Amino acid sequence: MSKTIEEILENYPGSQREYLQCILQDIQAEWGYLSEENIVKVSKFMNISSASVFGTASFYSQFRLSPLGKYNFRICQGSACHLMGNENLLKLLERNLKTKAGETSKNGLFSIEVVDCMGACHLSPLISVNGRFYPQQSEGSLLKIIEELTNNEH
Amino acid sequence: MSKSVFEIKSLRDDVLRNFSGDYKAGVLEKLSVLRRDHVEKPVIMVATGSCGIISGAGETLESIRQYLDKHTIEADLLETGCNGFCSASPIVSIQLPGKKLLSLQQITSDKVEEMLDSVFNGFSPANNALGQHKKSHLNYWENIPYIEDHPFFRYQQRHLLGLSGLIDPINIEEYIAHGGYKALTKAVYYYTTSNLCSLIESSGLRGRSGSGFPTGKKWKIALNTPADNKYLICNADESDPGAFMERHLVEGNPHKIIESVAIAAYAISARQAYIYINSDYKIAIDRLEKALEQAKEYGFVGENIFGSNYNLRIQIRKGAGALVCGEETALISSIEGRRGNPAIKPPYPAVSGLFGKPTIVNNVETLSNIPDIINNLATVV
Repeated sequence: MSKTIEEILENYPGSQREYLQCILQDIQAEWGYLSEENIVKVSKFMNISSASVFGTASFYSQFRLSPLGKYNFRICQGSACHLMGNENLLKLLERNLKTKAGETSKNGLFSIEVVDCMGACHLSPLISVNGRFYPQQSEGSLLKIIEELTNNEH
Repeated sequence: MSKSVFEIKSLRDDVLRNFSGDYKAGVLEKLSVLRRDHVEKPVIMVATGSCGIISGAGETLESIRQYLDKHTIEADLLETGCNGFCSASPIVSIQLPGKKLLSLQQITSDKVEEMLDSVFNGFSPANNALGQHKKSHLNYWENIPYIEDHPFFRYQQRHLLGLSGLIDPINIEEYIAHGGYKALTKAVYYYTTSNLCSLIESSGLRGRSGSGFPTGKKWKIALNTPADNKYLICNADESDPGAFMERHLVEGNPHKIIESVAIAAYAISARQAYIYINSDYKIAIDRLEKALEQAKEYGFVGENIFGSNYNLRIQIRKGAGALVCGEETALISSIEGRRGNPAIKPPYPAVSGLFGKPTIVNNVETLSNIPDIINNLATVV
């Protein structure tokens, strides 16, 4: 990791409450999630309770409290993808990756995020894995992707 | 980033603060170059907005780069926003010296070689043509329809997305050459805050986020509420499922957003403005940040704008994925660093909002209408 939390907090002299979301976003950008340790450090920096920091963080779906998996699946929940059956694809992902949306599998390999419309509706249903896009997915094609990634690990 | 054509001072004095219509020698020519009225060498524009990238525009861009290297062709290669016809992505627009701008659709990286072979030999690949742009003094591509006659574009009056797909979004001089920042100049030089609010009120502009509240009337409430600080917030937190029109505005022409925000902030005497944007809009945020740096460098934002007494600071804040934060009181709560819980109204934010001060929250699409209103309706007093 190229930055320490102290370096991040240095960008916010005055430790004003209004920058809490910005600080949490910087931390997540660096580590991929908000660890308990970092939440406590932020609360001390701002002179507020860690429950208050946690309470603010938990309101926003962007903030993760556990690390992303090695393979992070993002499934679009936009209208077009919804009409094209992304609900079934999400259920398939949760079943096969053994984790729920917003969480990471126990072995740390897979995580699932449900995201807002990515704006490529003509390619729905749309899934991305670690930033690579897979358009027009079906249950069959998605299973193939999962199989390929799982085989990579063996 | 491309080389500057103008010195900053010249741009301000000879272009923006020039309301007489008489330009110094050489200025009109420079503006024409920036607008690409004529080009000396080929210009290739790839629409690399989010929809384009998902369709493979990144790979298309790389393939074009490799083709140009391989054939040692000197050309300008630009990334632009999307013109709104996302299903045609990846969209590539090419301007050859002397010929009309030609837009091509669905140019994935495997089609690049065939496309460029045709185009550099004077033929458009008929299958992938989206259309050529009417600019009367340039030569016509045979058998290619005009993009302006395309069913998707035919009935559009492109006020907000007009330049998206045609300009480099992070080249401030290109935006200025197309009339950008003129409205901000007029506002700061020729309008009192009260007159500016009245102008917008009389234009009939209403909020585009769904409320439909008259924009100028809302501004007047904030302007007329005494306070030591006032705030302008541009709401670009678009989170409606399936909606991405606001993303297009920011990706395609971020300078227009900055100009609009600056005018609105001036109108209500705010010295601090926020642009609150959906954190997932990474390309939009990147372009907006770069555009804001340029705007600061050119003196459109910061201390003593245009040598006036007016100071303005603009901060970009990223929404953290709560749909409710599109509602103004929840958005304000989020900027204050709290959970995005909506508050009971009254008091309305225009009277008591961010940090208890008069605050105007305007949707980014609403604000994007402001420069056109000032440029078309305003008479210089």
